[in-house]
Amino acid sequence: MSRLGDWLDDRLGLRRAMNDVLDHPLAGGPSWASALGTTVGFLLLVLVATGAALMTTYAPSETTAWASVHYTQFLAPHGWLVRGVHHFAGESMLVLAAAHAAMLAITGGGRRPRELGFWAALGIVGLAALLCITGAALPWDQQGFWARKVELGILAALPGGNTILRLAIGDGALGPAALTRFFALHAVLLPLLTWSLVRVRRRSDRAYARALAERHSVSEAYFPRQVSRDVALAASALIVALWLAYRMHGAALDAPADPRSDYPARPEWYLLWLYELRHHLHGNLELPGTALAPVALLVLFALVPWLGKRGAATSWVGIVVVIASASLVGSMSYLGWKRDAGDAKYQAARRKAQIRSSIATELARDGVPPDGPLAMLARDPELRGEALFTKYCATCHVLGALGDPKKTKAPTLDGWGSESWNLAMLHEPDAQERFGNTPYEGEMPSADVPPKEDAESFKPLTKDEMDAVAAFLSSQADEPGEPIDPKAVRNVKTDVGQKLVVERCTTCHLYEGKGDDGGKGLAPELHGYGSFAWTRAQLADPATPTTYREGARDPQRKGHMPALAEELPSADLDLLARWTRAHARGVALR
Amino acid sequence: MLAPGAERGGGGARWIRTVRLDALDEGVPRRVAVVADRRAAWVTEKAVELGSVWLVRRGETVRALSAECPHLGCTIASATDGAGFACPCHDSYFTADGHRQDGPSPRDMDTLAARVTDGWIEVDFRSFRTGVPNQVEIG
Repeated sequence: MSRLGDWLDDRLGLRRAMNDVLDHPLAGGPSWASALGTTVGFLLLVLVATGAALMTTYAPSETTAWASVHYTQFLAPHGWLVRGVHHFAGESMLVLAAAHAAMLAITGGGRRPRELGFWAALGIVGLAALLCITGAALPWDQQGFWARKVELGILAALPGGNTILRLAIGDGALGPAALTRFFALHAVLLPLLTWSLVRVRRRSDRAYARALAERHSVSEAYFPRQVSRDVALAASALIVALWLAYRMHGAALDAPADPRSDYPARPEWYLLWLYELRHHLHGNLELPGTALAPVALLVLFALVPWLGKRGAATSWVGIVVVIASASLVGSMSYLGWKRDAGDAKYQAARRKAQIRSSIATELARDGVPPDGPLAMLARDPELRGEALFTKYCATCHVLGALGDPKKTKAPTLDGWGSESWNLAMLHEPDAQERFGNTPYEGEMPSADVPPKEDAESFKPLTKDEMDAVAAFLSSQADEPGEPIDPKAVRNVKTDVGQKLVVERCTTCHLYEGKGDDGGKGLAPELHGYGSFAWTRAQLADPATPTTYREGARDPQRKGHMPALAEELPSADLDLLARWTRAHARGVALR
Repeated sequence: MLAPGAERGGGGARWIRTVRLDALDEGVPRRVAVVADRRAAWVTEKAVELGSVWLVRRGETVRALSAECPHLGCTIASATDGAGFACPCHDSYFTADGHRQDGPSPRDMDTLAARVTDGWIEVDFRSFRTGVPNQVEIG
């Protein structure tokens, strides 16, 4: 062992380098402030190591970024741990760099001849924030995308902001070029700059300590008291990052970035104070104020060594500046958090976003197609069906949570095709949740309640007959292999029901193309009513003999169902029919 | 290489077909996707959603409003209390005609030219700079 050591030492001078560190004089005894600085440098090394590991499973492009981060987080062995440590070590570095700068400001650590070291410490705070911000963009998820979208918007509104923007992200828009730039900034340029500043700060500290030691001739060495503080603090920081990574099982991953969604953008927690500050700045001050506030704070800190008394061990100006800025950032963060916590609309939007995030996460476990996670989501029958229903159907119909029950202009579809839905329709067709408030109001008589006029010649259906008709109609909706409602009575009564339908309902309706009105009526075909084929035909064009016939196109009857075949491709019509039937029956497609 | 100009084939109208006029109810705003080809840096995509517009029918004509918030570019949703529009990011509110009502937006919602051709609504889709009081087209 010692022979290997000698061999290496002869060639690399390791022992001397080590002694140079351990025996180096300290400036005025061991301090926690100095340990904070060392810990920031240590965390940077942790970030480089974990970042290098993350790069082995990361692919920066719009179609692969989210998928590869999902792979790292959920599929690669221990990927979550590496990602989590990287995430929390990064945020810890920002916090500790800020704490370090604050301690230097308070203890007069920036006074001559240590100005450069102090400025470097301030620069590290800014760079750590930029590293966090660019890093948060890399998963290309909703959170990262929309927070950056707003930040770039603020930047673009500044004088000269567009030039900075083009230099920073290569394009005016958050597209493929921007993601690649974020990656280059985050993985190469910003870490190199940060490392350079860490070196500047260290050089400044050591030069100062050497000068002091020469003047006083006796001085304590770096080892052992300062080394033990450095090691204790650096180890604690790493343990905290590990613990947070373990607690959160990695780091959060939101749904894939969707530039067309109405996502409620919020910045990450360390920028929440600026989000809140923006609310208190108005007019022309709003955007420049938000962008310049952090710069102004850094400049104010940078000037601290020149303000107040020179000789004192404690800088009172430093204390005032630290307390003032900590109160500003702290109170603004709290107010911002409180604003969102009390905002029901925002919370509802968040819940919606979380549902989408967990669906995307689950779907991606089966792999993400080469055209990306948005294509994966767009092809998911459940999400696509819901989106189609929301867009084309929920303006008039209600189904589950979709559609506004106060604004219906068409029947509610929950339970459509079931015996109970059919019974309700036979009994009271003009109820609000059926034909009430639709162009068909007043067209269908009740099967068991006598009409106001001509009540004497009306022959109501008995309860058994009603059940039989409902059972028969419900059987028309069944597709092979679909589960039947266990309460259904259809098995014994469908033949009775069929006879009644042919005898009584075809006065207005068609059954297997036959009816008493010679095909000119309004009431739909009942054969296959509620089946996939019937639903699909009705969606494509209600004005065919398969469903509602030509009367559905009558311009006098404004508000009838539109023919979606003109707007939707065939595959979407198939899906919408499948989705609507499944959800009417209370089952999901997935 | 580091600061490429925005080359997006600007200039001239870009009429993009959206939905049929019949599909809109009088005065009821509806958000529709704007689908066309997209070119961004080295990626060209055919028939993708470039963004969305709010369409409001007034008789046989249509008012088209860009759904991109003039404040900082979030997507404007319909206001939960019924009439008008609201941005989910910084609570800018607009009337049903797109006029600025409340919140930080520096201008009204951006109106886009719209026309009806053969029963289809076509929109001249453009993007504008965010965060500034006057409309400045991008690209």
